[in-house]
Amino acid sequence: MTQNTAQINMTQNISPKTSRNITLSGIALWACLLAVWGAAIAVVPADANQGEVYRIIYLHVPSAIAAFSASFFLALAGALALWTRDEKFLTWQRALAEAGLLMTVLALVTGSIWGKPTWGTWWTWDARLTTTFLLAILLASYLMLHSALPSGRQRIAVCSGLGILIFADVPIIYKSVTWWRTLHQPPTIIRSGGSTMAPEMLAVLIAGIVTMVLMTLWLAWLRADSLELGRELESQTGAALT
Amino acid sequence: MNAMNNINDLNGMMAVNAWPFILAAYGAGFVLIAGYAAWAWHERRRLQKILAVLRAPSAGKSI
Repeated sequence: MTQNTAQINMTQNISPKTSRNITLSGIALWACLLAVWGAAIAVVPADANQGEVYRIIYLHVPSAIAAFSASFFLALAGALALWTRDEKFLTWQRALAEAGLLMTVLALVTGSIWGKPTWGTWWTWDARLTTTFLLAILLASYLMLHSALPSGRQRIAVCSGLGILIFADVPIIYKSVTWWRTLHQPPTIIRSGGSTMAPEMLAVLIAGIVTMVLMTLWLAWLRADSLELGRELESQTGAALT
Repeated sequence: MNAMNNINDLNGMMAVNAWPFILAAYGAGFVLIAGYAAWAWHERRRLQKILAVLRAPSAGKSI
C-alpha cells in the first residue's frame, strides 16, 4: 500500500459509517417529509377564508424558515472559519449556501404560486418578497465568489465575511411585515396573543418546519461530504475534480 | 391595512380551482429538493468511485 493510499484510507470522508449515517438519515427525513406533505394535502381541514389553496402554507413557510436556518448556520460556519482558519468550515459554508439558496428559491416559487389565486398577481415588490429575493441574490453571489477565489486565507476571509453579512438580511425579512405596510400577511405562529391557527393545522405546520430544517441540514451534510471528497482528491492528485 | 382582511372581498377568489396551484407548488418542491439531492448523491458516488480506484491494490504500482 502506497503512502498516498494509506492517507486516503484514513480520511473520514470515505468512512462507511458516515455513508451509512447519511443514507439512513436521508431515508428517515424523506419519509417524514412525504408524511407531512400527505397530511397537508389530504388530512388537515380547509381554511375558513382561503379554502383549499392555503395548503401551500405547509410548504411555503417551512421552506422559508429552512432558508433562514441555513443562513444562520452559514454565518456560524463563517465565524468558525475566521476563528480557526480551517478550510473545512469553508466547505460547510458552500454546502449551506447551496441548500439555503434552494430553500429560498422554493419559498419564492411557492409564494408566487400562492399569490396568484389570493392576491391576483404572481409577484409584487412588497417588503417581504423583495428582502427574500435579496437573500436569494446574496446566496447566489456567495457561491459565485466561492468558486471564483482560489483556496487560501483570502478565500476564507472574504467568503466567511460575506457569509456572516448574509444573515443580516434574515431579521429584516422576518420583521418586514411589521416594519412596513406590506401585502404579505403578518406572522402566523409567533405573534402577540398567540397563534390563531387551529391546533391540528399548527401541529402539521410545526412538523413541516422541523422536517424541512432537518432536510436542509441533511442536504448540506450530503453536499459537504462530497466537497470534502473533492478537496481530498484534489490534494492527492493535484487535479480539480469538483 | 392587513391584506388578509380583504380576502372575503375578493369576489371570485373562492371560485378559483385551487388544486392546480397546490399540486404545482408541491410538485415544484419535490422536483427542486429531490433533484438537488439526486445530483449531490450522484456527485458523491462519482468521487467515492474515483477514491476506490486509487485505493485499489494495483494503484501506484508500475513495472
